[in-house]
Amino acid sequence: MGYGEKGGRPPFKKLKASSKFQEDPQKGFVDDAYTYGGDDAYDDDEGKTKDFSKLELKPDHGNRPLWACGNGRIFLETFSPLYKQAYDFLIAIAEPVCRPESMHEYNLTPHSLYAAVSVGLETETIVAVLNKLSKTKLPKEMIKFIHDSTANYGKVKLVLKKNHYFIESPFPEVLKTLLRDETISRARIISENVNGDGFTISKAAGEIEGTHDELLHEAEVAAVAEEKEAHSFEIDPSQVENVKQRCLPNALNYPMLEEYDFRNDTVNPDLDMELKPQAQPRPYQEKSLSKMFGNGRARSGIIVLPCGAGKSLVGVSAACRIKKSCLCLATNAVSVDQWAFQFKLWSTIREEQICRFTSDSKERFRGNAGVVVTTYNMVAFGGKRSEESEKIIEEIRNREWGLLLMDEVHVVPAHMFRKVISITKSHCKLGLTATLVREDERITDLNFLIGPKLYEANWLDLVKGGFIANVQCAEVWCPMTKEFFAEYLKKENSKKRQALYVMNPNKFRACEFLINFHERERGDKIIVFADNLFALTEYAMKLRKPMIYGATSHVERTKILQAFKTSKDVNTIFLSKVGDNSIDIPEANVIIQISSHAGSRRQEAQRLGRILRAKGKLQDRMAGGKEEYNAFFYSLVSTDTQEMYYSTKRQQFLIDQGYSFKVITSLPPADQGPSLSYYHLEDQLALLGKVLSAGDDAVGLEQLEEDADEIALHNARRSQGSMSAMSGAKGMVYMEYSTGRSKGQGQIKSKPKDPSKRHFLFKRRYGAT
Amino acid sequence: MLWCLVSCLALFPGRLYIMVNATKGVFISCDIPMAQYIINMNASMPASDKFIIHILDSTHMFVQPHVEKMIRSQIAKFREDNTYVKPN
Repeated sequence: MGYGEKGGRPPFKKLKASSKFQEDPQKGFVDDAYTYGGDDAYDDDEGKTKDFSKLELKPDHGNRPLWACGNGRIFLETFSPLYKQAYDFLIAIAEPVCRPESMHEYNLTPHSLYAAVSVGLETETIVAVLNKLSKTKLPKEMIKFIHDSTANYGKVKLVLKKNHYFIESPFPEVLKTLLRDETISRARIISENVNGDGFTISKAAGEIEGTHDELLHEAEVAAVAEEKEAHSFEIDPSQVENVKQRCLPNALNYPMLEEYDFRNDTVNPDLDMELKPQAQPRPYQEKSLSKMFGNGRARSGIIVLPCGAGKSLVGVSAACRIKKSCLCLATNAVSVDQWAFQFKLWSTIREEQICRFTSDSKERFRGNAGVVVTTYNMVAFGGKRSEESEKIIEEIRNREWGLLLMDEVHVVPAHMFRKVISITKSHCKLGLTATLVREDERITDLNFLIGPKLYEANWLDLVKGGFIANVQCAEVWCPMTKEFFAEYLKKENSKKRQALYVMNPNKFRACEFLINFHERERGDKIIVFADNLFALTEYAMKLRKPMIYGATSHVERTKILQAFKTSKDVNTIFLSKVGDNSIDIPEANVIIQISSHAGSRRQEAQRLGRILRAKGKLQDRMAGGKEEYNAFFYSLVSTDTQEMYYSTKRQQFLIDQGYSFKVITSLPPADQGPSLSYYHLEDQLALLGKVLSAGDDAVGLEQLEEDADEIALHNARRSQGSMSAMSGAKGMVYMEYSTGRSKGQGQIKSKPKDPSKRHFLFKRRYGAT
Repeated sequence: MLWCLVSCLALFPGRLYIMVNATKGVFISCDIPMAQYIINMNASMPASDKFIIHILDSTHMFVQPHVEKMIRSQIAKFREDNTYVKPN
């Protein structure tokens, strides 16, 4: 496991405190450890900050499940009888770093502690429970860090009551501090009904937490029993955004929690919807909802569940509890349809109370409360709209929404969020996602734009529980052929490298073999992913399979997906990037990935998510059941190319979730020989010629214009598609694509060999001779 | 990638001459992509620095003895570039 330390935060830089506790009974042992570990210079220093062998063990440490280290890392033994309780607690207060089967690693961060406070845990409770669960005495640094980080979090709440914004706090002195700030004092609205301080006082109900074990019980009773007085003052609704900004950690450092007292909201009309009796939330869905509705109010925040674990049910349940108008935002038109379907499936909402707003279907809102499902782009779109959609967007803008439900929050850029949030007035925001990672590390923005992370499920636990499929992940190594690798290495082909390693004939053969194997031997449903449009069309045409990419119209997508779901003849589809998110294909259980977006960990996880939905009988899926694995995830990689680098990087997220990748080197088997394509050298050379003659822009990545308003969509649409064209029957359509733009050819220049520009390694060698 | 480096003497007996030509070199045995990599490396050199004496087949070649170290370090670097190491 090792310590994946990210250059420790200041309070945990050094471990000194614990050295006092013990008078060297282990000295000889520790010295030994140093001589072993002291191979290189800095290892010694690292060793000191990470050597916790001197922490004092409690006498009954065997019964306690976790190790708390002075640098903020916490290690949890998953085989402990207290694992479940400890896990629930840790996930509330710390960020999971890596969660393999028997030992989890967590990291305490300011953000994770912020999230903990926002779900109602108090500083003392955190320290007390952590101390109870820890095998060792809690390091002083850790206690100090928790105190420092939580001192101001959660002290101030922004509450929307009867459509007035209040800033609420149990501590009047905190409110006074805030009012000393100019922006905030200007935003304040003075009301008549006040006491001496000028603050309104009300009773706030204590926290109600889910059922926990006795070990945690004591501390929680204390939290529940305490009834707090809340002081508050009103602020101007138009200034809310500014006030919120002033309260962020980089300014006044009193981040505000947003809560919605929906039961006492009499201004907004109620929406009559209930969960249907057959909608039985699973334990983890229940738990995530209890974090959201912990004290009878609705908190804003993010819930992280793996794909296929039933995020939609959590969203629908949340809407059913709040029972107000709900605006549901999805990433594209297909998932809009799916959300609308989910609402009808799980809740008693009437047909006319739910409407979809996309470029293809503009349903109008009837009645005074309802659910609107639309895409981020439709709301945030800045250009000119049609008259009809302008009207609908106006309605969305003017309405006060009880719940803003945001699907796949990780994909949406921050500026679009700001826009959506500023356009729509909502009391409570719930973000749903499977993968809270981004390559640009902008994920922390979400903490303040939506709210803290309320709950995150452990993938392996859900697999064990049979809630999601047990996936066998495999990386298939395909050696490059001689001719392709020679071209790959040439400098003038640097732009075509990706196309070359994707179109590697060995990879194609491996892909064809896997498709044949799974279709014929196991009767599986297969999705093949390719980011590279050129490869996508080549593969799909050669293998005569249907495909969906950015320019495929909504109608056609639906048609193809329908055929895939129902027809016995369509068992494989090819998807470009559009299939990464939200396309719900519960039937699929095999994924073959032939090309991918550089090193995106999120994409890998999202793609795996397409097959995570559990299939078959529950008892077969449980540990020891009939089928150990019932879903397969293959990533085809050309060896000795950049793809190896990206592939390893991409797997990191899944590895952190506890998955392991098996490496397969012998695909396709040698005896398959001529039964697969590209067996003969001349076929391979023809393919190579095709790749090389294609224009640079044709072989690059697909540029997706996400489902914007109809105008944007119109530009991107090439409308010669038909079912037969998609399945490769009308090959002509694609020929246009690859030959139409060969302007890239002229740009290739051979570089003059200037000895002074030589790589330094060569310079050193040849400078001498 | 199996590396088998043997310093040896190669004999090129001419048909018409009695004299025997001998060149000292390094015999390289590797897999197909690496052979291509070395060939590409050779091709990118100026004419005076070309080091491959003879390409025997797709996995074997005979090169000048002094480039052995350079080839090793280049390939090490190439492989390094294609390997992802999780940042700590």
